[in-house]
Amino acid sequence: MNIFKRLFNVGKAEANSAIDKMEDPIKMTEQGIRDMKGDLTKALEGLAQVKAMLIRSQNDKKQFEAIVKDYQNKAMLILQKVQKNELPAEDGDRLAKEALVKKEENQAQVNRTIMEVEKFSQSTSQLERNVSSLRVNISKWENELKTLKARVKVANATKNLNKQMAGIDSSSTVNMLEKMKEKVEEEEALAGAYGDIANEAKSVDDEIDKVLDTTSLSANNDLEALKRQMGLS
Amino acid sequence: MGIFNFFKKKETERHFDPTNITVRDLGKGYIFEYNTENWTVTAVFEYDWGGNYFTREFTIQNGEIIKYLHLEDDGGLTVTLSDKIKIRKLGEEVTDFIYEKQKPPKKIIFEGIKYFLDEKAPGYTKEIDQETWAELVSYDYIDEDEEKVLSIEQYSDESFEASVGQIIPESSIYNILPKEEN
Repeated sequence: MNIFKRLFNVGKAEANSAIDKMEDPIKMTEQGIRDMKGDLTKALEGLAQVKAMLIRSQNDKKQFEAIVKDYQNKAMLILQKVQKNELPAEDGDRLAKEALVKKEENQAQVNRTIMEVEKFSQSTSQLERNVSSLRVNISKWENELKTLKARVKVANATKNLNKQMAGIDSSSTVNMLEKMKEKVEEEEALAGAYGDIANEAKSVDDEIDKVLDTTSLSANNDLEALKRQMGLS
Repeated sequence: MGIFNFFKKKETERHFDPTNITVRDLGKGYIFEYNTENWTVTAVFEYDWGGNYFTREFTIQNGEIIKYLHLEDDGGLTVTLSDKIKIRKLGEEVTDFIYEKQKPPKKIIFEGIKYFLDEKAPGYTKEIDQETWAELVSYDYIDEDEEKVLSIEQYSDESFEASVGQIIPESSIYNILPKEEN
């Protein structure tokens, strides 16, 4: 692994470590929000159950009230029939009394359902307050999470920038360029040294070749022969 | 019937955000408020119009009153609230036309409002937790102002159902409470 890769990895590890430290509260907040949403769902389901009971009680109340009204009307109609001599008074009184008994029985049911409606209304209101409170808290946490995430981004960016400006970031571009420059200089110096050694080795060879070379001697002989042929020597 | 694929996925688990349950999240047993009154979803029907396009209809109840809430996502969500009516309530002219032609007319006047045939769509429907699909052809009508709707569903040569209602804003369904999962 070359030095740049190592340096980069060191820098990366350092950055990750810093981000990890910052991410913990984010993850914790996210989990907290998930938990609260789970609680909210359960609260909503509970509210739905109580509201369903409230609705049933309200419907029962309406039905029993209608029955009460019906028996009341029946008792009145029976008495009217008696009054019109359409029904013997004895039968009329008995039937009207029966109708009123039935009316009272159903009135008792009305009273029971009124109490139920009251009870379930209170429970519904209480649960609605809980739900509202949970919603407010979830909203608050979600906003805090957004802020936290933004702060982490800013902190990381600021940290990296400060490191670069201070010149102490081993993975910074400037530092890497400096190191590259040093490396190039080292390479150039090494190349120069090899060149010198190569030149030196070549001179020794040349001297040996010079000593052993017969080309020059042969040429001198040829020159003397030509001069003689031309009558110059 | 409009085209949309919002409901094409079979839902095996709930996915709503408890801080914001919308009309799209409605299910059987859910309670919501409309017009300051509590309504309970008593049944959910799915309509398959082919090509992976589905719509959904909820039977909703408030005391003894039963209505039908239809959701259709054709780019935007259209919510209609309807009452079932007897087909004969549409008048002799309409019923005669239906039984003679085996299909409804292009225009219907009901309770002084003129409805125009908007769409004819063949499809299938079933209650969401049932297996058997029923074949149908839906004839959807809309009034001039595009606020009131009338629908006739044909299930066989001689079986017709009708409903009349209005388009309501999605936001008019509020305080939606989910039913606990079994």
